[in-house]
Amino acid sequence: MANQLRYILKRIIYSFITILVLTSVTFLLMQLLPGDPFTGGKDIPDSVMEALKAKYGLDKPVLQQLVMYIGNALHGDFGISIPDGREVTDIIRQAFPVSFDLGIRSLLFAFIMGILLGIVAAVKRGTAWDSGAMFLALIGVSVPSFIMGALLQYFLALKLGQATGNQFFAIVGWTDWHSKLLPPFALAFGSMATVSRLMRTSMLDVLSQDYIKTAKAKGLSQRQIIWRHAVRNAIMPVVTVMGPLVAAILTGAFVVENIFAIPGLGKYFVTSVQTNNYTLIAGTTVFYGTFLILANLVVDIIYGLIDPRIKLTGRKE
Amino acid sequence: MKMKKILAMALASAMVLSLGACGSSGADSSASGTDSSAASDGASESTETTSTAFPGTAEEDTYVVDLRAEPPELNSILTNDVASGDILRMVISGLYRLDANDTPQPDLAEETQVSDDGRVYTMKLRQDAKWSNGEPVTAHDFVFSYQTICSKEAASSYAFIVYDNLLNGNEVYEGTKDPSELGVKAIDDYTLEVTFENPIPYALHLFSFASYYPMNQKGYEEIGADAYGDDADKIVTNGAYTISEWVHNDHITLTANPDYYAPERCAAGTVRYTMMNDANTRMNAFQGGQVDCINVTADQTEQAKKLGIHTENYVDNGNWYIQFNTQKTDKGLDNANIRRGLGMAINTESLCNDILKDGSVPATGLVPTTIAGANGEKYRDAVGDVVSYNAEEAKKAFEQGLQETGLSAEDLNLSILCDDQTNAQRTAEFYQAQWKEVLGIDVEITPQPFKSRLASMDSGDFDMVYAGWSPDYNDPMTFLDMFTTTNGNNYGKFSNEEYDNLIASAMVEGDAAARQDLLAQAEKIVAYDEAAIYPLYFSGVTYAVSDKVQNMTRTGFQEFDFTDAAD
Repeated sequence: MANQLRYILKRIIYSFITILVLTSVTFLLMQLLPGDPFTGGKDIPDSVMEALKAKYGLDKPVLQQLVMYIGNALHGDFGISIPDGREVTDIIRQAFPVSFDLGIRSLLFAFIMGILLGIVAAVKRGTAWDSGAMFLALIGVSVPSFIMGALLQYFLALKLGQATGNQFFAIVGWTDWHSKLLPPFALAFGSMATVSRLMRTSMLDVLSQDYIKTAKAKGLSQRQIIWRHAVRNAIMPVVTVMGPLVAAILTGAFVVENIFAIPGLGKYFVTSVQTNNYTLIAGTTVFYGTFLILANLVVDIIYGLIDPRIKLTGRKE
Repeated sequence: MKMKKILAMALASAMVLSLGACGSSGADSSASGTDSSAASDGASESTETTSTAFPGTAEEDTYVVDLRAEPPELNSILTNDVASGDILRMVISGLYRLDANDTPQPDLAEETQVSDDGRVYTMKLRQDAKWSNGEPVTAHDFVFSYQTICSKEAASSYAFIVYDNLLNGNEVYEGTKDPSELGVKAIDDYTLEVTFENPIPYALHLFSFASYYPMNQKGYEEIGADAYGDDADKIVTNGAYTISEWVHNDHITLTANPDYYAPERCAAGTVRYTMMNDANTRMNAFQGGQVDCINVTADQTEQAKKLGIHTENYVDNGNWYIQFNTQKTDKGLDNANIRRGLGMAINTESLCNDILKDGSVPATGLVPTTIAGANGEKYRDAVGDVVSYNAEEAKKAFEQGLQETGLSAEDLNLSILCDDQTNAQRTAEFYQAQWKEVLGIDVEITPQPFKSRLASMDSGDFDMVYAGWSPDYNDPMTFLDMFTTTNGNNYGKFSNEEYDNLIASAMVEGDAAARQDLLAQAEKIVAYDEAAIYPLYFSGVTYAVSDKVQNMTRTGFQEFDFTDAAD
């Protein structure tokens, strides 16, 4: 237990260093973007440009800016977004809960649906159930979320709504539950496919193990064998991909948010780069980075809880 | 349990996919019957009542229109973009307002006297206008606003549109003169005196512009300059509408202001602006009756027609042109004939009808058709056409230019810089094909992201660039002074003494007709004789509108306005 705690502490320290490096690299790289945050096709007089740069602290040397930025960030001040003057923390506070809601729904959907499909496909191997589930997975892997989103919106929200006169699936927005069905589905579809294929392979592997035969020989019911013995063992690889999947869902959120006009953080993340909005680039990158690093840490800890054989001790001494 | 539900729903949805498709074909055919009645007529105000299959949103006395993106800055001292202007125009009353024809009409300025030299404007203000924090709107609010915008601390990127015009503006901005010496004075609470450095024929138009709006000092200081205009409750307004709700990046809702002095101007009790970034999303939302007005892309115009959607279009004041880098002597771009040949070789009629398809019209000069001229006439109508497509002449000029420079067409290796968006690249490909066809030369296309393109232009790292310009104010000067030797927008480093002198003379000319004459001469030099740039088209906007919307104004200077119901 003490070992575990020490490991977690070490991971937290490493995470902190990673975030620091991420911040510095992002900060320096974004200064290499061509152009500046202020010009928009029209020349700005020199004296006005000076005033703008002074206001945002861009008149100082880059390294000094970086040190100031990290100092402020440690106090929770991520500066103000350049074209609109809103505080970056304010933007994240308002937009992230929406993205998080969307992300969590997608993640749950991807995992639960993916695992169920995988189990069904493995248990009913070679039957129509198997082919059906794997066909669905194939579509999921090959159809990107922006196409899935557009199709769902057009057929299920618009056309179904027009045909029935009942707007069961909202076309745009993120308000009531009608609007919270299609976007998570579109976002999760690809991940669900990945999970189901992984789960199927893993299940098949486990089902051919000797201990399953033993369980059968003991006379356990099919249900008991699958749920108590097979699934618990087969689920490990799926947990492993959780970290990367969180990343995939977070980064994919931008397109889905765009299609369904959802006021999430994804848009800020992408447009900030196009508009050279330095403070917002740095703020969202650091935020997403921190979030991902934490997600990976949590996955590692969960990993240890599910499978006690894996000891969270890191390097052997 | 919840997941089982979702699974069931997913399966159900899969089953109705086919149903949905059946339903759609039925809807299509019934809608196409009204196609002819929905033909576009180019009017900028939709007051017609032709009914289509698109009655609009359900809420009563509410219009929902799409702004495409969030208005970034609702602080009138700092703002410089179109979307923010759309909202500010609704919630702030200035000295003058634009009517449905973009003509300035008195707003808070009840009575205006102009001095003989055209530099001093003395205005009596209405006494019944109120800020949303209960304070009366007075002349001091204008003085505070103009003094603030003319200070470096405020860091307004549009400051120059005030300090370049007002008396002592530059000195006050640089700090060499006290703000009290700026050309704006409150004679008493309701009398404002604005003094310009030079006579400004478009002064009334300036007074309707966001940078010239009043600002309530108490409200501004209570909220704080940084936070001002960031949220619905962080702005003090005095106009026809108030901001009742603002969910960032999603929608902003305006409600008719009960304290407004002319409530009959409001076209609707509530106007909600959505912010849908994706063109297909907008179209789906429009068809689904979620929004009353959306912009339609070139690719969507056919679809809209087929569906029987009522569309209209207007010229948005933008001019798109090719700017030549006159420093590229090895490529012949220092030669006016070569430049003119390149510009004139592009069939702008075909460009607008076959490629752009968004209501854009072939350019006939550098100044678009929508810009006001002297004596109430549009400038373009008054001075006539300066440029047009002519393949024969293009070829002649180009070959003459080659002779003059001693270059051969094969040596030129020209490239054209453009934005990396699909539409810009498609348009550049059209130019490329035209040059091949008419002049027989190969031109390379260099697409770059917007900010990179600007950086390349700024460093002179281009041969030709496909760029555009939209006006800062309603006067030809905003287009014509861009290419003087010292202007920061003169990326092609064009330099012509006669042109510089004409612009300088026009700047101080008090007589409107004489000034227009000087401007027309300058335009001919820069766009035709010397062809420092070659104008191609005046950009248009096509939009779809539901049957519900009345008294909406959409023009080059007012992308959206709902305050003209009484005009």
